[in-house]
Amino acid sequence: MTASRQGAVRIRIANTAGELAAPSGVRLTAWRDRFQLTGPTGKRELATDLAGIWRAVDRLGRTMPDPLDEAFLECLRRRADE
Amino acid sequence: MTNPSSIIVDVLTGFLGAGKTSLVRRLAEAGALSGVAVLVNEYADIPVDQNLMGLSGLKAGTFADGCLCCATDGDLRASLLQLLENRASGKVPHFTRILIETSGIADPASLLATLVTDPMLRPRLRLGRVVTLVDLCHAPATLAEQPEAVAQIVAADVVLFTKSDMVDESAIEVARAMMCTINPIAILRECDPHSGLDPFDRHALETNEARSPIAPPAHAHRHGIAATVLRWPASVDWAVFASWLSLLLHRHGPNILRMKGTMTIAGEEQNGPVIIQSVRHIVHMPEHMAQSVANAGTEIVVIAREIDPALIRRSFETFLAQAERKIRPTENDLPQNHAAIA
Repeated sequence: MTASRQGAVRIRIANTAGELAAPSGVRLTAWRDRFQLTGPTGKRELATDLAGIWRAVDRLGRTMPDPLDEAFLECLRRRADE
Repeated sequence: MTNPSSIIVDVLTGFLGAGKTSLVRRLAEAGALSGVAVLVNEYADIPVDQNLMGLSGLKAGTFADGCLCCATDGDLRASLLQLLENRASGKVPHFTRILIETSGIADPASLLATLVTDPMLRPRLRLGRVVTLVDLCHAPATLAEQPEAVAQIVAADVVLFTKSDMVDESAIEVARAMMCTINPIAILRECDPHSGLDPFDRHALETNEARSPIAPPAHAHRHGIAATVLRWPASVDWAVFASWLSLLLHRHGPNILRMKGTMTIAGEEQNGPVIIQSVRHIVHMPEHMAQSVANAGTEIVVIAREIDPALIRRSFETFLAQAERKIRPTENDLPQNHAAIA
């Protein structure tokens, strides 16, 4: 995969995983060859892959996102309606 | 995607006394293991001649038909690396496939995780088929008392019933019902020693991966295990699926016992569906199906423990639906980053 294509994939992952991290108050962006996570207090961490993203979200976020939690799913639905 | 020149590793498992070594012996006698290196645990009754070769920590012998048989002391990673090194240096006969016979009390998930994730093994080996033997005489008691036996069935692509000549038809039906509950993905067969069936022969015994649609699993709970089918009618954005799956496995990995199915990836429709599978939290590299199927959507069976399967289905559908509305793919967003889940 070319560097530009890898970059595009990273942006795409940042967007989609960012939707799941948003209910925890964590913002996710692609940064160079990594992902940058910014918590609700402004604290930042870097991650290299999706597993690292979720570990960082658990540390930075207000809540630990659970895709099987109804309240979490409802939050996703509300965000999609915005 | 996987390297097509890598060596296929098949796994034979089953609880103590299920008949693993007997099956290996029968396959060897039938010539089905020619060019195959068989790696067995040290407790097995190794069906080789007495002319064992010392191989730096491995004991090995050859069958008359050219099958190489090795014994390991339990460190399968080290044994596999040694075997590959010996193959490369010509210390052992050339082989094109490896068959691992696990210990009867092994949970194969850790072995499969090693094969899929180890940086030294992953580029050289490719996971083939997991065959689990189930002793019909003892199946209900073993499954009730031994969690490893349940784990062996969960990991199976093929379940072979042994000792069917020692039980009546009702016991076979009970065992079939139990297997369908624990692992609706697996193909079920009786292991008749006179039939010549080779459960590792992909042409003789096709697994469910070539079927479409996937048969709906039984929903009755046993051992806290239940299954569901995730369905999506259209192609799926890989980044969306990878994000959702990685979070699901991060939060619930130990209880997501198995996933297997097919998915058409958005932007890759012309290549046909890919096979998606995981054992516990380890996701295998997706592979395009050898045979294309008409269904262009997604069907993935999920086997979970102590989780309401309806919750998994609802989560999957909710996220894909909201992603379709909220997240618009851009021109360069191509779904090639299959390893991103790991």
